[in-house]
Amino acid sequence: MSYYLGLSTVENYLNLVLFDSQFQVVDDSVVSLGKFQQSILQSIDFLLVRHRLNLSQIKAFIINTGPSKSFTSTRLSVAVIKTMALVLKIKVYETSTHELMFNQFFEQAKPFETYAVVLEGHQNSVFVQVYQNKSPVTQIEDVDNAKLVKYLTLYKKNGSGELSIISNVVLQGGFIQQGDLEFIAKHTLDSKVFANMKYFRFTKKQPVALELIQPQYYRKTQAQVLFEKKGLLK
Amino acid sequence: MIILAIETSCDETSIALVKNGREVLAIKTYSQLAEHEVFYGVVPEIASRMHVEIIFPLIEKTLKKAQLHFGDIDAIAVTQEPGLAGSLLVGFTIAKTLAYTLQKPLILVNHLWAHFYAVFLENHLSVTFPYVGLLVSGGHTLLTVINSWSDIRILGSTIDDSVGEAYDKVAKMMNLPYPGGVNVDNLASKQGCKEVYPLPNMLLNYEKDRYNFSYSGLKTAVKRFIEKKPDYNPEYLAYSFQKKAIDILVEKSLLLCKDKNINSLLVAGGVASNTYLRKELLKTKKINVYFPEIRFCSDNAGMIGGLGYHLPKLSQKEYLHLDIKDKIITYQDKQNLRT
Repeated sequence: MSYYLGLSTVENYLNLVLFDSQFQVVDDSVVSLGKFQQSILQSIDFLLVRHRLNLSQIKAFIINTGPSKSFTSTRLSVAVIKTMALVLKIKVYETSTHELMFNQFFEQAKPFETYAVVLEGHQNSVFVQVYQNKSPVTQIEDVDNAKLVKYLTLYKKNGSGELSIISNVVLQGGFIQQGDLEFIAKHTLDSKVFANMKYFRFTKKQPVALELIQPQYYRKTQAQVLFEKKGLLK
Repeated sequence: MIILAIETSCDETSIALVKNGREVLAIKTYSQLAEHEVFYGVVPEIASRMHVEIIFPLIEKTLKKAQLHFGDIDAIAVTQEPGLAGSLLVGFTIAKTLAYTLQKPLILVNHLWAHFYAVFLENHLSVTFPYVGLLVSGGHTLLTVINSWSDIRILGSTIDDSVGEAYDKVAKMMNLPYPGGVNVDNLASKQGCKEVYPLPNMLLNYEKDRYNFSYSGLKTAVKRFIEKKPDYNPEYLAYSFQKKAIDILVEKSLLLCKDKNINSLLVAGGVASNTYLRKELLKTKKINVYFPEIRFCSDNAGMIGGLGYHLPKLSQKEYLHLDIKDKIITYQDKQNLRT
């Protein structure tokens, strides 16, 4: 029997899921990563041992390439999966944190409504992606907190239905106040982000060539931002 | 035994295949110089990002160059310490995963000690312990006694800047391109250069800091000098700085050899490629001095695979939970050296 192994790191948590060939969940665990994130490989080993599997029984990996508040955890989870895939020639499917988050609402999402997936970013910013008709209509963007309401309002006007926010950000105490937007619902995220894999069939995802799989940061480094401000970087 | 070695401790991504600790079958190193040049120093997050982008094609190219496959590899060696945490983590994680996936042992290497081992790459030079080891780079300035590859003792260190760091900072003050060390050396090596400008000697107590170094005073002296005399001759200033920076390395290395009655000195690290250091040390007839080939002076995976051959091969049970170590010498260690 062959399996799929899904791996996602959001902030400092690793979600590791084993699916059977019909995308039924066989194992689903969330692990808190340590200082140096070395538990990624350990957790994979633990899961394989628990189910008496070896890596050659993995038909494909599904890897979340980001974004995450922790650049390091994204980078290292991608590194682990790419290494295994390179040696054993295992296929890799790529997904994003936003896609996984939206996926949790895939079945209940209404076709003509607009959904904004808003995830906590770095230093007064959030990572945003807007979905309509169950598909993304924007790239994932790093949006300044102060500009978020304006950004989302634009999509509310353009959308034909209501705007819902799917977020891990504490909205009421944070930068979006109730009333700023007429959002009808704020959905809280599940740390087990691979809860619903039906979208995989819906989107007819294809494996990605290994060289194209890279951690997605959606944010420049502090040094780049600083040097750009000083006009020292193009 | 064929070892696939990985080195990512700073801004060089390097992969090598090394046979029996001596023969470098293939080595590929990507220097991130161009990415960091504009910042005049290494930006850790950029370095980490580049490592993960570059390393996989580099592994494939190295295997191809040696006409080998993953199945031909007997063990994986990797830099575990010291270096930039984010950079070390990329190489370390990939090395662990390679060892796990290939079901081969993992070898953990201190890349500073590997710099000393670089002397013995691609030659038949016999290894006869003990040695005094002088490690000079952008991150470290260390004097050591090497009793064996697993028994290296630090007897002296810089108490502030490393010699390589001082070179880079002085180069920046002189508006020389990054990386500064080699450009200061090139200027100072021009014919007719002489020690014209009076820069201070390193003011360290010879008892308390017998084998220690300090470069911050020299660096500040150059800064003050440039402020006072902006129309300075760059070649003379480079020479004057270089003489002060290097002469003390030569003097203290020979002092440690004499104190310990050791007649062989290994000089390693990026600054080991400095022409003045090589010339001055090779002048001495009292001891045997060994340098690595220039191509093995800066960070490279060849030295990791070479030293790795002589170090313990860890099983999956032993390595799976292990972490990197980003620091080798703490502030407290430095204080303890000042006796």
